[in-house]
Order: sequence, then C-alpha cells, then structure tokens
Amino acid sequence: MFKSYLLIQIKRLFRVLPMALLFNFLTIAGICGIFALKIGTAGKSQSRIGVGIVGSIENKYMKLGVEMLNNMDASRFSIKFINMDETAAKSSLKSGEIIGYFKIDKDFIEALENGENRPIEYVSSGAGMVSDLSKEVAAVFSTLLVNSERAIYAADDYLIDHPQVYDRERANTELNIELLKNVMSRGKIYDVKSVDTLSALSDTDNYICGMSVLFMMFTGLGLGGLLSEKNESLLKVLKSGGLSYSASLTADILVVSLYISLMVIIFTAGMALTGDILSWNHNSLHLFEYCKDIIFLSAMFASMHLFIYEITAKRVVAVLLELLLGLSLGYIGGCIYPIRFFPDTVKGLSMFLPSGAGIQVLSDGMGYNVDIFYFAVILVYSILFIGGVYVLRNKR
Amino acid sequence: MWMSWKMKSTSIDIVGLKKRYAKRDILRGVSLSIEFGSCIGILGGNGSGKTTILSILAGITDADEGEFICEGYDLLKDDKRRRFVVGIIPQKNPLIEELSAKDNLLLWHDRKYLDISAKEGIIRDLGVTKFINKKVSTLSEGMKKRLSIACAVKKHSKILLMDEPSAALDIAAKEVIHEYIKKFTAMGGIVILVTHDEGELNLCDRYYILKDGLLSDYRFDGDIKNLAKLIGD
Repeated sequence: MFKSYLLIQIKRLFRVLPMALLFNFLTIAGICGIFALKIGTAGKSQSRIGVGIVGSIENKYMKLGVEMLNNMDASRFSIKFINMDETAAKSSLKSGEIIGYFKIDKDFIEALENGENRPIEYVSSGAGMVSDLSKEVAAVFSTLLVNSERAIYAADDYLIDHPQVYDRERANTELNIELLKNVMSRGKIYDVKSVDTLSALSDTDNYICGMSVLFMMFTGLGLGGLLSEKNESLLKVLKSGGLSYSASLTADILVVSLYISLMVIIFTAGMALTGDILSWNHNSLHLFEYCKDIIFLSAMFASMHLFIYEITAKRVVAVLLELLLGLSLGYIGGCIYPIRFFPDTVKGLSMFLPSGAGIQVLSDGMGYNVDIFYFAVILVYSILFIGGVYVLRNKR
Repeated sequence: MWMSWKMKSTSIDIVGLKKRYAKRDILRGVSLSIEFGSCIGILGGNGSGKTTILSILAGITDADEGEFICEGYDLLKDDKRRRFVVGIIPQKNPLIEELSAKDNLLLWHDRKYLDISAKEGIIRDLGVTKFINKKVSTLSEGMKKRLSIACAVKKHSKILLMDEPSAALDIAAKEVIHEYIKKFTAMGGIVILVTHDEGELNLCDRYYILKDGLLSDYRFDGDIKNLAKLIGD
C-alpha cells in the first residue's frame, strides 16, 4: 500500500510540477526584483552617510587624504566626510546627520612626521548595522590615511637621511602617485570581507545559502495542487486499507522533500551557471556535502509546508500564509540581508528560526565549521512540524 | 470471477462495541449478528454514531471495547485479515480528483486484477470501464460513487460497509449501485448500510435503529413517518 501511495503521490507531483516550477521561479524573481529595485532607488535618492572630522585638516596631505576618501565608494553606501567642531559633531550625531566622527589632534600630522603613533579617536553611537558600517569607515580611514601618510613621512625621512640612494623629490612624487592610483582604483584597493557574527560566512556564501533557503521556503507556494484541500475521506480509507497516518505522512514528506531538493539543486546550479557562485572555491566533496545538507533541510521545509497546508482548509489562505512566512522568516533569518546587519536581538532570534539555522546548516556543505546546535534546531523543527501534522490528521 | 464464496461460518458477530468521545458515550455496547448473504440497514439521527460503527469496523477508529468476529477471528485485533475481507465506501468519495479513474483504481488494486475485473468483474458490473481513462474531476457524482465502490471492493472482500452510498445521486446511478449491492449479497457477501434513503431501505433484509448508543431491531413497514418519529424521539 505504501509503495502504491508513494507512486501515486509522485505521479501527482509530476502533474503539478510545471506550474509549481513556473510559480516558484516567478515568485523568487519577483521578490529579488523588488529588493534590487528598492536598493537601487535607495542608492540614488538617499544622501550620503555623513562622518564628521573634528580637528585640524589644514595640513595638505591630510586634506588630500580626506578628499580622496570623500570620493571613494568602498562599500555600497556612499560616505561623506564633513569637517566640523566637536559641539556641532555631537549634535549632528544625536540628530542622526552623521553616524560618527573622528577626533584628530591639531598636531596629529606633526606627530606622524616624527614617527609617533598617536591614535585617532572615533566616536559613534549605538549598535547594529550603523555601528558595523562605522567600524568599516574607521578601518578605511585608519588604513588609508594614517598608515599611508605615516609611510610617506617615514620614506621621506629615509630619503633625507640617504640622499645618495634616490632622488628625494622624484621618489616622493612616485610614491604619492602610487598612493593616488591605489586609492582612486576604489574597490580594488582592498578586498572587503565581512565576517558574520554567527559564523565566518562570507557575503557571497551567505547570499548563496540565503537564496537557497528562501527558495526552499517559497517552494510551498507551488505545492497547492498537491497539498491543499486534502481529501480526508481518502486518508481514512487508506488507513482502513493498511496505510496508517504515519505511513501516509512519511510518503508525503518523501515526495515533497524530493521536490524541494530537486528544485533547490536546479536553482543552485542556475546560480552557478549565471556566475554567482563561479567564485565558489569548493571542491566536489563540498558539493556532495552541500547536496546532503540540502536534503536534510528539504525534509524540514517539506514538513513545514505540510503543516501549513494541514492547518488551513483553503488553498488561497495556505498560499498567502506560505508567502507571509517565507518573507518574514527569510528577512529575519538573514536570507535577504546578511544577519550581521541586524540588531543583536534579531541575531539572537535568527539562530532559532528555520531560516537562520538553515543558512548555517547549508554553510556546512561549503566547508565552514558549523555548530551542531543549528542541526539540532532543524531537527527539532522537523519533529515539531511532523508531529503537528500527525496530530491534526489523527484528530480529524 | 463471480462465484459464491465458501464460508467457514454462516454469520459475523459484532459484540459489545463501546466508544466514548469528548466525554460522551457514542456507543454503549452495540451488538448484532449478521448472516452472510444479507444486507442490513443502520438508521439513526444525526450524530447518533452510525458512521462511528462503520469507522470502527473498517479499522479507521479504535473501539474502547468490543469484538468483530468473522470466521472465528476478531477483526478488530487482526488488521491484516480485516483488510482482506472488509471494504468501506465513505459518504464522501475517497478519490484523487486530478488523476484518472484508472490511476485511482491502481492505488487499490494491481494491474492484473484490474484487467480481469474490467472483463468480468466489478469494474465491468459498475460500468467503470466506460470512463476508466477519464480524469475524476470531469466525472459525474454517480460515476465517482461507482468508482469509489470499485476501489473499495477487493478480490476477497466479504463485508462492505457503505455510508449513504446513493445520497445526492440521480436515479440511473442509484439503480446501478442498488443492483451491485444485490449482486454482492447474492454472492454471499454482507452489506452494512448506513442510510436515510428509502430506496436503500428496500434493499435491506433487516433494520436497526441506533439511539443513545444502543442498537434496537426495527421492522420497516414502509411507513417513513413512523420511522422519522422513531429516529427523532
């Protein structure tokens, strides 16, 4: 009986597959399109993020450094450095006009010239995305401005002390041109690597895992034809015929898991073909691991979809619920924006969500060291959803 | 295909069926003996527990107490044997709408049985062969009910449990189903009908009224008003 039922369900799945495929791809394309449009519009319409500079920037090298930074776009957010006094900086910080400010001593450049390692104080407010961005800005400032200029002065001192080795003026000019070339090449000057607070997941890998998890959640949208408006009479007669509720549930989970796994593997392959994961430096063993993790996650998401369709009688309601859950879990779980952009409370919550834990589980297949906790979270959700469906079917 | 079954005993016995649900005694010790080759009708008001009896006998619901003895075996404890001899046709058709009638039949029977049955068995008798390749969602209610019966009756089925089989069907569809019930009992099978339909009542050899969780014997004389009064009281 189990075999017959499984075959029938696979047959039903293949019948709904073309529509489900189309629906899923259109949904994910639509969602990605909306977000892309929103980010694009936001980039054009919003003014640049302000960072204050308190203190003297009268020195020509300092002025040049700040101007170069003002024209640099190292992250996807534009940053503007504004020279101001400390009182104005404090009130601007409070009002949100700037996200932080650097305090530079008036004899800072002189100290640098003398080889002194005087720190620049950076004042920012709060935590979360803004704070992360501020830190990035501080790092850029410190690396490019301070170190570079210190190196130039050190080189200049060396050239003064050793006039027989190089022509000082020519060497200084070459050094400055090199610096300008490096800074002006914008993003190429250094590789921006963001480190997630939950794991060392890079932005690219986070994007791949996040999109895969999001896709798994949206596969439920196309499953209406298979899972909605169940024939309870059929389940009862199947039970009478020897197929218990747990057996029919197992068959249903197998079929939906198969569907999700296939969809996500096709989707990931699609991402690879379009170039998004061509830079993914993973070997075949990792690919195998990745597929294994996809199957593990598919079982959980399959039980989640079954549960959603079990608690709702109407297909429209189930699809809306799927959409709402997919969007909210995807957003809070870090599928759309990496979770490190969110406040600590959301980060903490994300770990316990199917989406947040799902991203971590998938990253295991990419060779990251993933805590067993995330596998346990997925396992607990699977048990809860399967248990829920079983109880509901029995109750009826 | 069509031949009378050889029975080791002449009847089945339902003994002391009890079921309590939501702090209410649905069945308080239902007992009856049914001879092979007969059709019995169970009558009762809404929520009286008629469908519960069928669900227990079909193995869908567990009884709190009781026995269902067939040829010396308690079918409530012997699932394998029960599945072999008992078939149920619920009021709502247990069919997968988006698949063909043949696909639905294949869920319950193997291809070999289907081929034989289409030539000289239940599939032919119920006229299912005419629409076997059609999608269930395109079939009429009468066709769906006939298909449901064809799905439920297995090679060795001796007991058919039917929950209002001809409800909301047209006269022609009812006739086909009534003819099949007659044929099934003529072969020596037992049909237990839960019904409100006068036409179905005429098929029954005996009638029982289920009231307050107990079955009482009833002699139907064609007086529907009296029957309604009895059920309603």
